[in-house]
Amino acid sequence: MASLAFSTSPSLYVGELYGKFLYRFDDYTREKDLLCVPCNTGTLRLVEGPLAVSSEHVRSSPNPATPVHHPTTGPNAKPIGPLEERGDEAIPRRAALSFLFESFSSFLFFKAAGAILLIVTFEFDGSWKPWCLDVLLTFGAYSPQEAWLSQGWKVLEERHQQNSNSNYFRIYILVLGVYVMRLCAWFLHCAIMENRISSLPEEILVMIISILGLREAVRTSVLSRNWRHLWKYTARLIFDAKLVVLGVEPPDIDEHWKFVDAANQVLKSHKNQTLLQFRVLFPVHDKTQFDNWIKFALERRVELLDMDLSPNNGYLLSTKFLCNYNLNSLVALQLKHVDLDGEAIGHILSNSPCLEVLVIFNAKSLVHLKVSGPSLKLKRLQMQDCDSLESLAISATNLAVFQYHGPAIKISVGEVPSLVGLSFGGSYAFSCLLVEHFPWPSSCLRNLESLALDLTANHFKFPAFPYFWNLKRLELVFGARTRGIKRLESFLPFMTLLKKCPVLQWFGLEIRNCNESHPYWKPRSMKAKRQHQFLEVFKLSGFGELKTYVEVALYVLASTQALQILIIDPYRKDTPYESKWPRVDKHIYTTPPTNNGISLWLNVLVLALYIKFSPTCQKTWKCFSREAIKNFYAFLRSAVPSAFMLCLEFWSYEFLVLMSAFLPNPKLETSMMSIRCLPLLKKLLVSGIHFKWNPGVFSSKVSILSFGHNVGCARGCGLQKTAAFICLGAYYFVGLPLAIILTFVVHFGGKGLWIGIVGAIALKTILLLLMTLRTNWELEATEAKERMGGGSAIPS
Amino acid sequence: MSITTENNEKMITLMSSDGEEFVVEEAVAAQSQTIKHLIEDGCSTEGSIPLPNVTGRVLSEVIQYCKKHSSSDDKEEKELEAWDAEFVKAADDHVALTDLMMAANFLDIKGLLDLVAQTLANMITGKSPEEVRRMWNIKNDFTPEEAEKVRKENQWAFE
Repeated sequence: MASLAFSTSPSLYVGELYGKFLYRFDDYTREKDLLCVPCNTGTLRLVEGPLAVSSEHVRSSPNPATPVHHPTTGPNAKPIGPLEERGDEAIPRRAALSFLFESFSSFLFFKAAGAILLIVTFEFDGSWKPWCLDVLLTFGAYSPQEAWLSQGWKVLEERHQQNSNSNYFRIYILVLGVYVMRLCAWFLHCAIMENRISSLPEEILVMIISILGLREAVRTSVLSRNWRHLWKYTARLIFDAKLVVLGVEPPDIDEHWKFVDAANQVLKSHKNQTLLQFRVLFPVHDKTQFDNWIKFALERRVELLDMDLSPNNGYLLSTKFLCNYNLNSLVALQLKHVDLDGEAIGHILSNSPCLEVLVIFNAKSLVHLKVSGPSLKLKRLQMQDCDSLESLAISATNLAVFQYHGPAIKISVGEVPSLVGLSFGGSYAFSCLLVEHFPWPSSCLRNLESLALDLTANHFKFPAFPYFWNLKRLELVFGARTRGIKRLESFLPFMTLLKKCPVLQWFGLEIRNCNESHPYWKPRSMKAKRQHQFLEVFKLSGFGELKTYVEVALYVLASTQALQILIIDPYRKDTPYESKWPRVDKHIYTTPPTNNGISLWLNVLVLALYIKFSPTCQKTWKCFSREAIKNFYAFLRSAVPSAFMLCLEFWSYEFLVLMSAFLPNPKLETSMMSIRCLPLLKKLLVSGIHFKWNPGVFSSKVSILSFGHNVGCARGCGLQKTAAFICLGAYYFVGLPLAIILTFVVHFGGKGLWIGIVGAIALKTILLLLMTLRTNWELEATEAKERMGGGSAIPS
Repeated sequence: MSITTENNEKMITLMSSDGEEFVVEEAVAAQSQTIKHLIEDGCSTEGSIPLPNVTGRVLSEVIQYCKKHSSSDDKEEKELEAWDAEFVKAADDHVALTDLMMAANFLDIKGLLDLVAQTLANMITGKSPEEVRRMWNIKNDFTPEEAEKVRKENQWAFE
């Protein structure tokens, strides 16, 4: 690689061109020091070749993920970069490719600038000078566009000298050809990159479908025959009536039946013998319907069963019914507005050894409940609005979170050693605070980390708050219209609660149902007596008046030391619908080649405008005429191979970039390839040859022959076909195979790719040089005259 | 081949289908239930564990995931989630997600499997069948009549 490292001096102007891109490139990589450093003068300086970098990297890395070289692969086996680092700064392959496209378009801008410069000099001088060619080479000697630039140039030249407009159309044909081929190249690499999901085995497809909502899952059935029945194996069945019924006001009975029918249809076609989740959100009217659904779920060993029949409450889930089914697959059970009694819950608890979550909402018949058992796995118990409940006994070793929202009852608490979170609401929450001591035994409050009290529903009296020595998170919700609030005048007294919770980190205070201008809230300054040491987050929501925010915020800021986040949320929020799966932004897969296209067409436009308006072409440009198609076949015969030749070159680079992405460390390799060292390299080689050889070419003063470099020579000589074959051979039969062998068989890594491409360029250059040297230029000039101008004179 | 490093972590060598070898800590590798069982059965004591279904490129991504998730048990969940999202995005650029999915399935890494499945599912969500077909190169082999029939079966989903 060292032999190919670029020194700063010869590429000064190139560096100016590419410096820009290098800066851009830095956005993608954070390995500035390792890859390339654009310095202030705009000079390109590659500090080290990519391979030196990556191999050194690995050698010095103590990272245990570095693979051991397999004996058979030799010492040069391509090592993989440290994994941790790759994760952080991996340059995405697509980003590299789109970068490639982008850089092309910027590059073409310079090219267009070069072309304009040429035209201007031409305009002033009436002829072009050798240095114009240098400019052309500097700005645009690479890429297919060169072909038409030279062609366009030729046309101008001839136009000037021959008063003929026969070649005008040919430019466009050529450009079009190049376009089509480039498009092909683009589609090709899209095809290589694409995900072929159908190659996945069916069970994995089912897994993906199971994540989708039922509607989306069913919609996959029209994708193809393979997909037609896949959704029937989905592991989640979620019947959310809101999706069907929502928006129909008043609730339309037809819609309801439609929903039931659709659900039954789905159940009928469902084929999977196990279910992960079964969820119904639907106010059912028909008991047998519902029995069937629960039966269906339990028979398929459902793990998460979730029934929400709000606002109805007519369905009774009886012990007798449950006894018919095996419940031991249940992990989470949520029954909202399903009526069941203590006996049924007891049955569920004792027959579901895996049950971890139990949520009961609004069970009318529930009077006595005992949650205890030696092998109870229950971690979370939530009970809300069970208005008939009279007694509750809890003794569960694994219970971590208990939420109760309802009437003030006696809760007898046994052993709850794992309890960390409590949440109370309704009258019970008040009853907790009205008494001198918290009604829960201190042994179970010792580990308590999170407490939420919802005091909206009832009379308010400022809480006689007990000390919570370990509490880290406290949430309080008050109703603005409760009686106690009127006496308060300010909410600052709440802040004194901080004293009772010495290690509190998260404090949320919310006032619900308040009007914008509540007459009872008057700001009052209050000095912090003692600084709270641990509070990190303070959240204030639902207050009405700006003054109150300011007051409380100032107080909080003054009285805390460790505060990191202060949230003030003036809006009352309804309980947000929490979806289990957060939506990830949609992936966008586009690397459009349009940028490039735009600048290309800009080029064409500039040229066309020039021809249209320049006095130089005044005489020559008449209009579109049939004459342009004269000798068209002869023209195509040279244009198509010419375009093909250029595309061959171009594609081989694309191939390299793609291949480099298959290397174990694609970040480094791809970036190095796509940073356009390739064209740079080629440019250096080619322009070197150009400078060496062009005196000879120029001396012949035959314009058609003097397009700079060797390929141009071949092109000019009408040897496009030969040149195309040379390109084909050099790139595809020597260069690419060499690269592939060196990279993936001999495990040279990126070095192999480089050697391959450099070999191809060198071979091509040598072959074309030989061709150039062996050409009889005088003869060629005469032939070219005939080919281009139908025999008109070219000054020599 | 078991190597023990300074901090007494037992190292495991995993070999991908294309012969690439990776040395990782046992705790990292054991995130994969498949590998865990292989280790328990004593496969790791002689030589490396061959994973014939996973290429080196994919395996390196998988290991990256396992490393993060074995080292950050007690970290903030949100942070890990963010990392996951980044990871799957980056992985999407290196390897085909479908390959990653296959590997996660074979290696039985639940977290990764869920993550990738979720990502793939998100790609479908909200897209028309035609868009999904184009995205994943699925050939529509229904005749128009058949397609109409399939639609009719569950008309509600297509309204």
